[in-house]
Amino acid sequence: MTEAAEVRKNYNDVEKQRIFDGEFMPHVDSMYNFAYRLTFDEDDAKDLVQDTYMKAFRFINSFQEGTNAKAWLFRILKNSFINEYRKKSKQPTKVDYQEVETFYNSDDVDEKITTDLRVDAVQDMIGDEVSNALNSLAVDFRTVIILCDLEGFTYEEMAKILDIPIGTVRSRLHRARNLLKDKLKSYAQSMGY
Amino acid sequence: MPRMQPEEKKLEVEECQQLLQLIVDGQATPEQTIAFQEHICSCKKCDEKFKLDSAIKEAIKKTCGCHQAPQELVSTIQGALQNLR
Ligand SMILES: [Zn+2]
Repeated sequence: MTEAAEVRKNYNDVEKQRIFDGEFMPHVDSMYNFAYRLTFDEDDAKDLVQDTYMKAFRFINSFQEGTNAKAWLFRILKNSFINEYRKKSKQPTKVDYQEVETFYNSDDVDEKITTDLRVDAVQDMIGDEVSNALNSLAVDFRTVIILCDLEGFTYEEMAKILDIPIGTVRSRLHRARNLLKDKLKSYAQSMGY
Repeated sequence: MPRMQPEEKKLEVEECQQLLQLIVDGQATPEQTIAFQEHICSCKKCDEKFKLDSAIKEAIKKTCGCHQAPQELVSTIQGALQNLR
C-alpha cells in the first residue's frame, strides 16, 4: 500500500535525461534478450523494448532515482507484453496449472528426473540445447527462469515484476525447472548419456 | 503409527526442496545454508539434486543471454525520446 502511494517526483529535463541515460539505458541488452525470448521475433522484441522505454520516460516521475531501475523496467516490459503482444499472438495465453499443489506433489517427478539427468551431461550442453529447452517452455515458466537464473532477480523482485505472491514465484520456478529438466533429459539421451 | 510415517517423510522432503531452491538461488540465510550443508552430508539425494540444479543454472547463465540489443535500437529509442519531449 505505502509503496503505491510513494511520493511522486517532479524531475526537471536535465534530471530526466540523467536518469534515462544513467539508470535505464544500461539495461537495454537484458531488456532485449527478455523481449526476444518472450516474442521469438526480432522486430516484435525491438518494438516491445522501445515501447517500454517510451513508457518509462512518460512515467519517470513515479520512479525513485537510485532505486531498482532494472526491476521497474522489467515490470513495464512484462505488462506491455501481456497487454499488447500476448493478446495478438496466436500462442495459448494461459497454462492450466495448479501451482501450489504442484510444488508439494512433485517429489516423485523430482526423484526420477534427478537420477536420470547427469551433471556432466548438462555441462556438455554448450550449444543451443539449454536455450532451445528454455524456449520450449510455456511463457509463464520461461519467464520465471529468465528472471531468476539469467537476470538474477530475487524472489521478492520477481513477485513485484510479475504481480504474484512470493509463494507463487517459488512454486512456479520449481515447476519450470522440472519441465526444463525433462527437456534436457531428452537432449542428454540424444547426446548419448 | 504406520499412517504417520509417510506424512512425516513428505514434510521432510518438502522442507529439503524449499531449502535447496533457496540455496541454489543464493537467497538462503546463513543459518539455512549451514542447515543445508549439514543435511547433504548425510543425504545423497539432496546433494546430487543440488549439484544438478546448480549446473543447470550455470548453463542457463552461460548460454541463454545471447540476444544483444541491435545497434539501431538504441538510436531509435534516443530519437523517439527527442520527439517525445
Ligand atoms: Zn535430503
